[in-house]
Amino acid sequence: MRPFVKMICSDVKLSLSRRGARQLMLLAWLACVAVMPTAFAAGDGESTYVVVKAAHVITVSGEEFSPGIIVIEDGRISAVGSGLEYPASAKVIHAVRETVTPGLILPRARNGLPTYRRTGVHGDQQAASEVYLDERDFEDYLKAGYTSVGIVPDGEGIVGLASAYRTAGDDDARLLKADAYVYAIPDWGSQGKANLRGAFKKAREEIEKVEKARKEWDEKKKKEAEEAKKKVEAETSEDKPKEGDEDKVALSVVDSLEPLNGEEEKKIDTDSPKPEEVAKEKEAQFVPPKIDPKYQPLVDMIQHKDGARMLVRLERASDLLHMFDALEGFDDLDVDIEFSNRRRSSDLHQVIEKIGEKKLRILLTPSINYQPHTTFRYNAAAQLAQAGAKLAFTVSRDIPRELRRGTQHIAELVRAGLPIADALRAVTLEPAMMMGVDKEVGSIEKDKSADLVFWDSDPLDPHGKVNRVMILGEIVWESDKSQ
Amino acid sequence: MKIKNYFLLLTLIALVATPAWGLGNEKGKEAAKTKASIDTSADVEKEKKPKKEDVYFNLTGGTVHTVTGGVLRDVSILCKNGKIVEMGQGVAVPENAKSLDATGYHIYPGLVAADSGGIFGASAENSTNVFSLQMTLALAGGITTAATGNTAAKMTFGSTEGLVIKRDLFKTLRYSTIEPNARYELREKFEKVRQYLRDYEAYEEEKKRDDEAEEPDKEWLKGQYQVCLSLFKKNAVAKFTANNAHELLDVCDLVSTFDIDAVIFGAVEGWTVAPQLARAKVSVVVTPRRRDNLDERLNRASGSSIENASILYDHGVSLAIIPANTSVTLWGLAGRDLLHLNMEAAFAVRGGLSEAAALRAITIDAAKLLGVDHRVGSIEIGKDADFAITDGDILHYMTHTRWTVVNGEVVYDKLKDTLFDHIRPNGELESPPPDDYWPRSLGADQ
Repeated sequence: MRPFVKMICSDVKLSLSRRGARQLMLLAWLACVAVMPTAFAAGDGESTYVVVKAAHVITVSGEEFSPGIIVIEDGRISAVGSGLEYPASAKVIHAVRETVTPGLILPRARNGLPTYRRTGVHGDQQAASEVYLDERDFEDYLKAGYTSVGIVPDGEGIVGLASAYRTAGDDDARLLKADAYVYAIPDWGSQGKANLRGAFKKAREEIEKVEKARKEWDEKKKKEAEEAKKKVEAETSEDKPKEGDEDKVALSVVDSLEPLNGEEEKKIDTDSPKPEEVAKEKEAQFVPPKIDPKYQPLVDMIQHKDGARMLVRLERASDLLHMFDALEGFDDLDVDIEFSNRRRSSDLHQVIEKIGEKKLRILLTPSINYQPHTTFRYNAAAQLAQAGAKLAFTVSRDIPRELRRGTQHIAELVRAGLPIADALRAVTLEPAMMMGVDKEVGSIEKDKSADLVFWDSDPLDPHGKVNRVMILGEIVWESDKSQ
Repeated sequence: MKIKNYFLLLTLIALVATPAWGLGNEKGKEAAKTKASIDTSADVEKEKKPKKEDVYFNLTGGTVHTVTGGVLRDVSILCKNGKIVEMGQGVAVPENAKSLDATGYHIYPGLVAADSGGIFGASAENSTNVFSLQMTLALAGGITTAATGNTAAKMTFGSTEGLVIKRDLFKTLRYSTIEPNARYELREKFEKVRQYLRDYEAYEEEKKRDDEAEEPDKEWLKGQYQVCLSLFKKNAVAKFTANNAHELLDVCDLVSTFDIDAVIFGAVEGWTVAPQLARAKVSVVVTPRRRDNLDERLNRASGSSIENASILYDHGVSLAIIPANTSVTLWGLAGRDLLHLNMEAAFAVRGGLSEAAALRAITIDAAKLLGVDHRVGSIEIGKDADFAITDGDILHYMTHTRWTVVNGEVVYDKLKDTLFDHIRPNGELESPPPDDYWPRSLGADQ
């Protein structure tokens, strides 16, 4: 039962840092991942091992191995390298002519969900509430090599929380993270800036509201305590002369039992309200005023809670400056940007240095752009990488054709000067970080889930194709050719 | 002896008192020390915040047309954090100052457009595209400040800092001959507010004698009435659009009856009623190249005149000039849009206006009209470091803007922006224009 114990341990660790909704999800995931292998394992509770022997392994986060071996234990990567030992019982996948990379990750997609116009702040909306898991919907992602995808809500303003999904596998293990990031599509053409600023101000007001209530409650408690003290003091000061009186009475009546009885009664009197008070205190524990659930994710961001992050969609270079203005006064917010450079001409070149300076993570469409109104072409991705920005790539539209072309477009950028390492990172680890699931997926590392893609050649070869896709150690999709 | 004793006593007191004094002083010093330490800690806290370093910009050489202070030659203009701080010869320039040598060029204050469209967003501070082609083109026309809607904003290309310089420029009033009812109502409102102000004054007088004096009712003082009140108190400026002589006279009548500050946009027939306009002390915004035919049926001068600006100026009417189209359209091909603000002023010169007055009408007088002359419109110490640096007289048709500076930053450079780089009327070929082949290659050459 070793793996089971391990799982529980990891769950405890996670539950300390994450919130309730995710715990439930994780537990569900646990139930499937931890129980299933025990059911299939030969009754002894031993782990199931899968070993991938590939011509070339690109880990993204570390060195590359050719040939390389990936050892997978119960759907998790337990070792990666070359010439590794593995249990004899392991199922071996021979990929002698294939290159294995971590599964690609698309951090922003709509997956054909309907568009609708919703404006304002909707931090309580999750994309997960819209998604109905259907294998067919995700097959196009698998064909293109995507193993995780972030589904975003639609609308205008702060539209809600994006949810990270695996593109295949058991239904219970599909949802990676329901609240991956807050997605904002401000209407920069009119009041977008004012609305974004207003939303964060409102969130701060919510925090202040709670703090104020807490202060008032504390003061009230203090006063009550002081009053209670005074009462006790008053009582004791009143009691003393009473005792004296009683003593006098006792002395006068000369009955030794009466005062004793009196004392006992008093003891009972002083003791009896105590448990009541305790109960009252328990009842009167501080109940903070409710934070508007629409603003909860923004509140979490301001309070720097773990995993609270935002993705802001920008249309023009100017919008970045407006965004900085709007978020002024809110320090160190975890904000990534998405730049809409889908059209051929884009003025992104105006702010490349600024983005690099601030080391922002930027989500781009992989394309060569023109400076507006000129014939100057520029490779924004390469320039951003050089300037120090963190790159992540999306596709211009999440339709099958564009999904398949994604890596071809990236290959074009690499040809025009983007380092290969940055390019691969931009479709695996960076998107994972963008969604806060980089502990789970995004690279071939120990303890990460075995979400892998098997390519028939280099992943950035324009003629390259996806042969097989593995999710949680199981081959979930295979092209007709490879069979 | 008594005196001696007295002295002795004094010395004794002094001896006894000194240690106490000393102690007192030490205590005081300690207190001072603690105070000082508190102060320094506060300083440290201040230092922790990223302190912005002073940014210097030094503009040397060239002919400086200050507009308000004559023409200067061989001077340098030192700007600190976007403001002009020193001007003259032998200015001590800090080492980290960025400098621009404009020898052979003409330095003007950045031009001011009394109206504009399409350069700033609907809400200037919220939705302006500070990298837009429109803004670059306006800068190429030497314009650095423009009114947009009811806001005065600066063309801070590449930055949103200091974009808006004044809000609520005017209170727009409709006082047109084609809306007699609206005219009547507006007049009535002015009358009512004037009566209220008189009543209020009477009430204040009465209050000095009688504590129970009743304040005049002001529940109704809302909306348009409030506008009238602010105009009466000279907290705001009224904006009218009027072109015909009788419309202009009507506005003059309204303005002088109620003694308010007013600006008239249009004033095509202003030249026929210039004395009345001058007496009403209104400012006008004219378009010298506007053509309105004269009305043959009228037994008076009518229609537009190229002399309009000149006649108005000669009568002492404060003048600003804007082109017929106040946005940047057709990339300036039509020549009558905001890109050619200086040409519009040049046409006023053609009609008899002095060159100095024409320059004023697109700089300081336009700034005064907008109420931003404390910031822009002339080259003076303390004003914003906004310059239009041209390769010739700004009113000459062959002149191009070489650099435009806003807040001490070069935001337009003719040789770097590709718009007018290929136009070299003076034959300056030191840096040849780039080859315009397609497609341009990617990589090192950029």
